Amino acid sequence: MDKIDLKVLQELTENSETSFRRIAMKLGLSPKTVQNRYEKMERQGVIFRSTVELDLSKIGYSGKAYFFVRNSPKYEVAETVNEVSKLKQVFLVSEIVGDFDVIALAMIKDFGDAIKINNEIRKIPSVSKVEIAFTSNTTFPLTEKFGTIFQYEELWKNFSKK
Amino acid sequence: MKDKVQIDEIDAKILRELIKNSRTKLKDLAEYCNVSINAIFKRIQRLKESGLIKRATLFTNMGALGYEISATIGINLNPDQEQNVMNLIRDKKMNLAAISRSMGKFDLCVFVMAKNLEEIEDLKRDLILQGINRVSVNFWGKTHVQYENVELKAMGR
Repeated sequence: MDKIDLKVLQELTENSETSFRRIAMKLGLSPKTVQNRYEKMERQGVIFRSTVELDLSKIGYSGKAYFFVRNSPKYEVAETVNEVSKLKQVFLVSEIVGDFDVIALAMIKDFGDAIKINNEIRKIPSVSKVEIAFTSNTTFPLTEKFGTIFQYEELWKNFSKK
Repeated sequence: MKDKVQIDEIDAKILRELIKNSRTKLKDLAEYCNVSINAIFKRIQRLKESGLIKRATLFTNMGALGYEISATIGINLNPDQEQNVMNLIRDKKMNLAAISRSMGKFDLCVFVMAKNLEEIEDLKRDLILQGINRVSVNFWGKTHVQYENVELKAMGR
């Protein structure tokens, strides 16, 4: 990773549809270089993917529900993760360490949706407790939180120190 | 209620492909959806103008960029403390913090990515110094993403 990589990342974070040719022009590089950098970062796992951010309120979603799940000590956490991942509307599941064992995020249309998912999670044998929090944020997927470079300069400072 | 956007099966297909890869060529989308390139172009245009597609961006692995720790911090507070918390997190220049107001278990859900544990410890201590005692920190481990679970279709008005 070097400064050119980070510049390419920044350009694509702003608009991932921009052609490599245009980015190359802006950064004074050849299109081939930009493409190579992109592909290299993809291979290295720095870039998960180019994606679009949707506002799902436009098709009737009113927000997200966070389910904080505690696992029963008799079961593996992986079992809970596996079962919760199968539920409709649940788009992200993670093992967490702290007050809870698993977090799950679901897009919801209304409270009824959340209650339904909540009940389904409760039914899973390996789950001992579920708590819910709601937000009215309807951005989907989660690019706003995951891997969006908000402050490029800050990132570069941090990176060049390494 | 905000303006609803009507989408059909083809729009949903396009959206799913673009979530997977926003650089997908129009030609490939056209083949996949069995419509003309022009039709794909017009549909994407409409989805963007309606605000359903907010923007095309990158999904980056911040772990590879030095942000190895991610955590969700659930906070319970009095309404008059909310602005303080927002300011505090902003002033800390935690590079990757997202704050959502929430209902239910917590009043605020803060998602942060940090370079090391001290940053999170610092944040927690500062929150407690602000008089916010109910802070629940949960560190993220392996994450599974299943976008396909979410139904993308126009819902009844």
